[in-house]
Amino acid sequence: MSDASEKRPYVLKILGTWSAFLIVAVLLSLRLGSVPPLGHFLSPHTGYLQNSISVSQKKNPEQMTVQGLKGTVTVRTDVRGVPHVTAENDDDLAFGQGYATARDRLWQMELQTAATAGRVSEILGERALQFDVMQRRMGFLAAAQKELEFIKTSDPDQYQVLESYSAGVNAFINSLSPRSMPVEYKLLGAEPELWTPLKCALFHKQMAWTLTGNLNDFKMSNALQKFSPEDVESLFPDFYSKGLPILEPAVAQVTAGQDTLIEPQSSLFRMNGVLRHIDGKPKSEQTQKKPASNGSNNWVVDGVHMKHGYPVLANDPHLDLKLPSIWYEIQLTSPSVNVYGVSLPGLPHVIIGFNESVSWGITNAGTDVLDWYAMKFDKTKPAPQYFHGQQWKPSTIRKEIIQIKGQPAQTIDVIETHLGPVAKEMTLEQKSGGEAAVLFAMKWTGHEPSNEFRVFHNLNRAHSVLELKNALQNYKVPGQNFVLADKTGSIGYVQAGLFPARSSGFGRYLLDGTNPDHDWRGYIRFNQLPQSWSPERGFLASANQQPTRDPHYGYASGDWGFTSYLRGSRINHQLSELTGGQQTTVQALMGLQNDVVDLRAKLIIPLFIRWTAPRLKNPQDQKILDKLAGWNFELQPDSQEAAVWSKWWDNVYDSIWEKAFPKPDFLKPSEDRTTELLLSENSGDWPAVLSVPKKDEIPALVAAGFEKALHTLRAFAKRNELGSELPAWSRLRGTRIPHLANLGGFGIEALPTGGSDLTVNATTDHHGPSWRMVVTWVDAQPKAWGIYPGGQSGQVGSPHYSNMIKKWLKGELDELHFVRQGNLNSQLTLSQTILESKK
Amino acid sequence: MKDLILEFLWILLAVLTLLLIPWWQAVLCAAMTAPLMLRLTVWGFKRRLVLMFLIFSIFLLILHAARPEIAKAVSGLLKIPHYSLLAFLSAGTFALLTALAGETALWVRFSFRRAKMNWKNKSSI
Repeated sequence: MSDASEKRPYVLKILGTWSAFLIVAVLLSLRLGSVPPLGHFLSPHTGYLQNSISVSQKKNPEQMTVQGLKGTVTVRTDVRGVPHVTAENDDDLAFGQGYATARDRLWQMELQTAATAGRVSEILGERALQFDVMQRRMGFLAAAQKELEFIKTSDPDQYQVLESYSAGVNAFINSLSPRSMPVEYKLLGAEPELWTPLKCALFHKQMAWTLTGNLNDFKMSNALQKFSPEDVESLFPDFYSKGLPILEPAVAQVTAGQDTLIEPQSSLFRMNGVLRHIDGKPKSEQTQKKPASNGSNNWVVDGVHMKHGYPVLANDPHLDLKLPSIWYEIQLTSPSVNVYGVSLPGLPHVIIGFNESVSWGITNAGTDVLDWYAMKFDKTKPAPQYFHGQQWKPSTIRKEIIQIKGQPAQTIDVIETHLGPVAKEMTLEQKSGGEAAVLFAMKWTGHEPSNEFRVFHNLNRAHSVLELKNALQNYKVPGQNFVLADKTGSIGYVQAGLFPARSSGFGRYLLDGTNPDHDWRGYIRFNQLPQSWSPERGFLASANQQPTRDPHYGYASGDWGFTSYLRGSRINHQLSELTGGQQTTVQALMGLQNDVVDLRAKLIIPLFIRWTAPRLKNPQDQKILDKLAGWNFELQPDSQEAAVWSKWWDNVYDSIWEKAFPKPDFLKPSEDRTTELLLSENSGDWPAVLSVPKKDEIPALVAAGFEKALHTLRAFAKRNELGSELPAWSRLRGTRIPHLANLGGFGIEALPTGGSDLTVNATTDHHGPSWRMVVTWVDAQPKAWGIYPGGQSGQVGSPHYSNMIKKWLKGELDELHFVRQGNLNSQLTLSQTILESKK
Repeated sequence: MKDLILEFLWILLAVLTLLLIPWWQAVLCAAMTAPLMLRLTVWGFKRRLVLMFLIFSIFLLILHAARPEIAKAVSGLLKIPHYSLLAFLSAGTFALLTALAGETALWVRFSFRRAKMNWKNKSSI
């Protein structure tokens, strides 16, 4: 007995210590939900501390021997973190680009293509399954495979470039160890997958969807259920009376041929019942969300109107702002090319940029290239048949296998029709009785095989505007407004892309999939696209507005992919002022990128004040109206007037339309149309439709909107202890740049920005100028400036992760180090990597 | 004095291995060297744990301060207000694990010795 009591304390201690040790060790080894194995992650040897990237200057070049090279590739990284890749041939150049891009952006490349392919479940498990199913039904993976086959057979040289790019990415992947893996892989417990040309094609499809995909046809069809076609046409017009298109009639030089346009008997196809987006669950938007205000600015001024005698081209594409940034700066040099600009991580070549002779910039065309068709299906047969042209036609079934982390794979069936895939399990609220079911197929130019890689290959190597134009003849998706310049002084504009030829308004609503008259019948030919070459006025500009007012361009209407015309109007007005009867400077054109004048405020505020002043309940609010009356309409970060105006407009706009066009099943009439209606002197113009306030109720509604705005803003200022009655614009709105996978701490919050999607500096809460570039020539040598809100490195532990944001915020640009023959000044060189072929 | 020096040396060895090799190998190394360098009764687990936490903290604070970008990002991810707290978290985690590994090894040695003593006593009877 005494022996046992003596033993107990130390036996308990042994057991206690061992158990505690085992429990702690096991807990540190396991992944617990979204928490990574902490032992590995916290370890100074293998964990996050190893993801600190040094940017100190290195004297000696790093040498690597890799497989897949024909010669030697040199990657010199400058002090801004930009790689200057020099190779002896184009295939090796693509290899070097792949290697340099992966070194900085591997995780981003992998995540973006996994999302497009519908393979996120492989990384995140079942929670991403619904998303993957939608992506597969949209047919991105199938379209990318088709595109790759097309390139392989029609352009073997470009296919080889994709192979070389992939080999470069893989050379970097193969050099990684568990320690040097990007931190996101460590967090997810994942490993990088080898890159393939298919992933390049997938990323191209991703960009096409980001810039052209939408579900507006459903919302517009809902409007057609509720209102008369005349009311819908009136509330959603194709053209605005004061809207300035990209090409004024005097500038447009080519007219679209009417022979190619479709004139369907009627495109006002009515469905019975109100449509819901997805599976009757309108709030669960399961596809990738597309920001409403994707847009961009570009303009080019010819040499005659510039003081230094050379053309100037400026471009700032507005996209969702993320870290790492969507763009990656790079210079590519080989015997056939010397080009600088921004690339998209995952694609070879420079997308927006310049070389020694030419420069080009892009904005999204916004033209409707996606139509949804209501298809009548007989699902009683094993292979579902659909009714088209008075007969039942067989569909094809594509099996898609979705791998899921930690679970068995799932197989889904995707139905294909002659139009495209049945992309969504959308249903009508009212059951379509009987055995026939209505499913929705999508016809999208993004499903067509194309070879934009060749187009950008040729753009990178062009010597004149004419060569740029020739390169663009084969450009298909996503449709873009290209502005072009060369050092001889020529400038140009063309809306390049694959656009279905059709009459005005066709494709605005759901189309009838049973009616062959609703099928697309061809595309607009390149020489019929809106274009202009060295016009007399000396400049060309685009800002996602309609390309032309010419009614023959029927395709240039449709889905309201076009953004407000006011941003374009402001740019055109400022360019006319700067170049009218005088010459302008590069600095003035740089300054235009930072313009924050809100033209809608300028048009509407006097009217709103007139309506509100006599109705004020609180006389103290008059001083705020007085401040607005004296405001310069600039949405500066410190402007309180901007905050009041923004809230006021939102309140008025919502209270006019929210009852008649409730979210998420309807589109509201555009803000431009609302402005037109409010400003109209003719009370007969005001829509007499159900649930929309009458014209004589509007002044009171505007006054109420003002009071509500002040109440909201005062509460905001009080809640946030701002020490002022009203918040400044940047405090109210501000801008956040989240991490691509929304990892807290990896993004940037609350940047004090000005502007809005309506101003030239089109910054919004998480969206805005994703790359600002200005290019010209001095003494026949290119000179360029640029900046983007991010940094070259995608590694959060690098000082180059977000280092450009400060300058971007101030509206400043960095001078870009364009070097000849890859000879980067040693003072500008941060590091150098020499890739040599493994013998 | 000799015991004290050995205690310090063992902790420094643990820090060094944690920096140079994967964490589980470092812990294994600490467990294997503990019976050679430490004594079960002199310091005691709690005091060793505190000392180890302090030394680990100093090293990890220096490492985090030298790598502010990644340290700040991960602190933000884990919603930790400052990256020095992240260093303390890492230090605490590995100090606890390593001290437990050493203590476990010492208790193993103690058990063997006691078993051997019991066996000898029984044999002599």
